Amino acid sequence: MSISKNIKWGLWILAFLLLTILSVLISLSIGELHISLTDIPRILFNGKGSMEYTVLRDIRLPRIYIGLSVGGALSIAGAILQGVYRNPLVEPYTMGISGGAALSVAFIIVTGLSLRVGAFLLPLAGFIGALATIFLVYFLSVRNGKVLTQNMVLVGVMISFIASSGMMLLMSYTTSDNIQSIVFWIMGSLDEPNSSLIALGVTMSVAGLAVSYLFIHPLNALRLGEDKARHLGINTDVAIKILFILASLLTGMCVAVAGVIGFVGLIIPQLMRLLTGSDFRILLISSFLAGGSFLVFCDTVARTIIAPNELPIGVITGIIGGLVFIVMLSRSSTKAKLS
Amino acid sequence: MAYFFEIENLSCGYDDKFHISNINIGITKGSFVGIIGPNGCGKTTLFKGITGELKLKSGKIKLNGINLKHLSHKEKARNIAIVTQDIETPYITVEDYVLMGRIPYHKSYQFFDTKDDYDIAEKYMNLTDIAHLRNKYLTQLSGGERQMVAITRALVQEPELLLLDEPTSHLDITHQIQVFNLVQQLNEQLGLTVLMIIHELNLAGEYCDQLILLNKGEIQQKGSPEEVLTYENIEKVYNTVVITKINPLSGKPSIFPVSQKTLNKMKE
Repeated sequence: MSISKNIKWGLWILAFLLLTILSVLISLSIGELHISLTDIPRILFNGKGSMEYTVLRDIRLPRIYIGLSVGGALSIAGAILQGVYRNPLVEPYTMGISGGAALSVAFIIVTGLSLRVGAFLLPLAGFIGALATIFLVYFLSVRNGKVLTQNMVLVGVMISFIASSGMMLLMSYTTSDNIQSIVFWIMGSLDEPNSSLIALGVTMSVAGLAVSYLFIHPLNALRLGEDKARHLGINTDVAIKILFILASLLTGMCVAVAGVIGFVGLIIPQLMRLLTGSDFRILLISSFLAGGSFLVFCDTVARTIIAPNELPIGVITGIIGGLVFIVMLSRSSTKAKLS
Repeated sequence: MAYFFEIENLSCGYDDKFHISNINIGITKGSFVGIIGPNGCGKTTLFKGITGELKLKSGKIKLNGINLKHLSHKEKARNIAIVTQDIETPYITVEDYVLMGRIPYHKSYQFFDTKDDYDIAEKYMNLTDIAHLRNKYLTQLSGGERQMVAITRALVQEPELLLLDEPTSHLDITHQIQVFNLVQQLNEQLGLTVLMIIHELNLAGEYCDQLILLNKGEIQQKGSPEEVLTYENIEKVYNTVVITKINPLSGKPSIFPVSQKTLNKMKE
């Protein structure tokens, strides 16, 4: 039986790898400039100087890198948070993180700091805003050295409300140009011109996946609840803190690189739990791959559906993700699996 | 005499509110000990103190002479397995759940369950007669089956001490006895030391070698069932009138409640 489980997991990983390759190929091929699949290798390896080469290397590939790493990182962050807090509604962005990040970015835009100091301030502000919110939520939910999970979700929701009020306050006092840049930033996009930021995103998401695999046993044991995980020999206090910091760093990175892209971290881990089961040994890698391909796919849709204009990717992830999730939930047999 | 499991001068509890104190318990290896007492007497507080969910205000808990404080989480889980009243029911199959009992033995970088892990899980699933449930999900089980599965998971930890907190509180008499019979069998065949919080006095008297009667956060009486389950003790602690009789088959004491109506009749 152990063999059949390993084979099953192997097949799932293979399937998600194929899905990832497929989404990458589609994304490389489709766009304003159509490039046929069979031409892609030739252009990439020998086509230097041609327009197709520039489109592939400088426009489509960077977006794919970001899509894979941000989608993957958000999904494992979601899987980790849902696992640790055993609440299917927890995801990086329901914890108030998007609100905090957006408020921080809005502040930088409104005060004009990004123009005076440099555009790099925006991703930095997003990162700091996301982390600051996460730790604020964390410390507001600690009583006598213990994290009260239920409180945490409520505090997160409240912080989102406060942050969005703060942002409306900022927006009501500023120019319409500034409002436009704020809105553009909040909606999120895989378009990131800074190549070192792209490299950072790819590195962090792969490293995040690797680190999360060191916490396989705590994550699996925590499915039974904190007390029972401790009874199974898990140092839950330490494990939960580290996992929380890991999920926060990954989310902060995603916000910095791509802005706020909701829903991925919520639905991808949930879908994977339905498909592959709740064992984190398979859940993490499949969430990472599926989240990445989902985001690449959504980005392809976002930039082609009303071409030459581009839809915000958050709109696509929200609509596709929400619909898929409602359909799955309405099949009552799946409800039990998620809780 | 050195005890296998020893609680010395333990006191613990919740801030300001309720706490238990002066708890001294010594358990010899291979015994089956029950903790009884009325609601709110501190049974669960004591259990949480032993399992580490509540910090001790003072006192020591020793296993084989070693203070539990000095054991790592993993070492504790390899020696002491815990079964509680409620079992979480995530969407996991029985077999995967039972295999989780091997987690204390896994290195953090060990991804796969070894053949040993599967063999041990298989052995105990057969022993507790739940092997036929292996591919069912926890959510599909009845309350009695869940307790059997939880006990199997505890056995897979291969502990020396089994701690159970009212594992039969939601079960009917058939399943209560099924669980008690199993625990007794494990106690006798595997030499497993058992410490169990028990709500049902008659089951406690029937199955345990030793009973500890708690009252208002302190030990009222400890000893054999015959010494503890006297009508004086029960009437005092439970504040109700009972009579005790000896079960003619087992020779163990049993408690019979006496209703107010019967009491009134007797007075007349």
